[in-house]
Amino acid sequence: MQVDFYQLAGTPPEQVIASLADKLLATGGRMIVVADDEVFLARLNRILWDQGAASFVPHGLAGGADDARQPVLLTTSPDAPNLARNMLIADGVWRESALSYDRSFFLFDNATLEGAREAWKSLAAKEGIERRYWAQEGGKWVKKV
Amino acid sequence: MAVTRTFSIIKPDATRRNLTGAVTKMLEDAGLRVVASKRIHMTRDQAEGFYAVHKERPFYNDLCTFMTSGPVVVQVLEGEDSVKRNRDVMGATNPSDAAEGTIRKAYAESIEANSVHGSDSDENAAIEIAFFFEPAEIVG
Repeated sequence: MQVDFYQLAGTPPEQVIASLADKLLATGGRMIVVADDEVFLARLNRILWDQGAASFVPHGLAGGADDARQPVLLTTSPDAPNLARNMLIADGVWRESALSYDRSFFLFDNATLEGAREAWKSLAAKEGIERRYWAQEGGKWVKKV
Repeated sequence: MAVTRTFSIIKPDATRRNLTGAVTKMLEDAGLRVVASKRIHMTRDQAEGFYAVHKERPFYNDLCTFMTSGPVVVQVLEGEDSVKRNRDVMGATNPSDAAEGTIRKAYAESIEANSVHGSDSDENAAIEIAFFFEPAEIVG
């Protein structure tokens, strides 16, 4: 499996999430977006109706009747009732459950940098995990590792 | 290059933030002409009709709820290759991929300001325009 570390440098996480979800959906994939903060998820829920290539990123907030059918599910749980094989951690708090997915995206910033470093190191000792590290340089995402 | 028409919506978050003029100026600066425009509060029926193509999708109700959460500005834009031109000025979702002069680049730190819908094809533009405007309301 693959874990992509994204170090945010001022860009709002909602924007990065919209962009990553947009690209993933274009490949036919599904995703869960995980964060503990329900207020953040509620805000993300609203913003994703305003993002996306043409108009919006199709998604749902967990707890509805159609969770199993949502292309992108915003949730506090690491489980994927929508059978997503991709997980995005939006709050900079690493979760080992991310390793049960085919691909995970881990967003962190300066406030959560230490936890990201620890996660990066701990994953190095595990077999079958490809780590990638992305940073913003001059406004562009650059793969550093 | 042929002059065509496309359809645009300035969504509730942008109207709430009083950005109708700012967004429209960027559309005009990109070479698009506003040949029809009206500020409306979409009814539930209008939203459900407009997004009927998504009716069977799980997000349909939430999308309609959002689009009826406040006033929107529906517009017909005219210009050379207007669908692409409008999509171009909207910019990439990720502001780091968005070019200078695009709405998303200009408002990169204010993501609610990216609140614009643009038709994705000439065919859908015609359908979307007809949904909200009578021919007599469009003045080129």
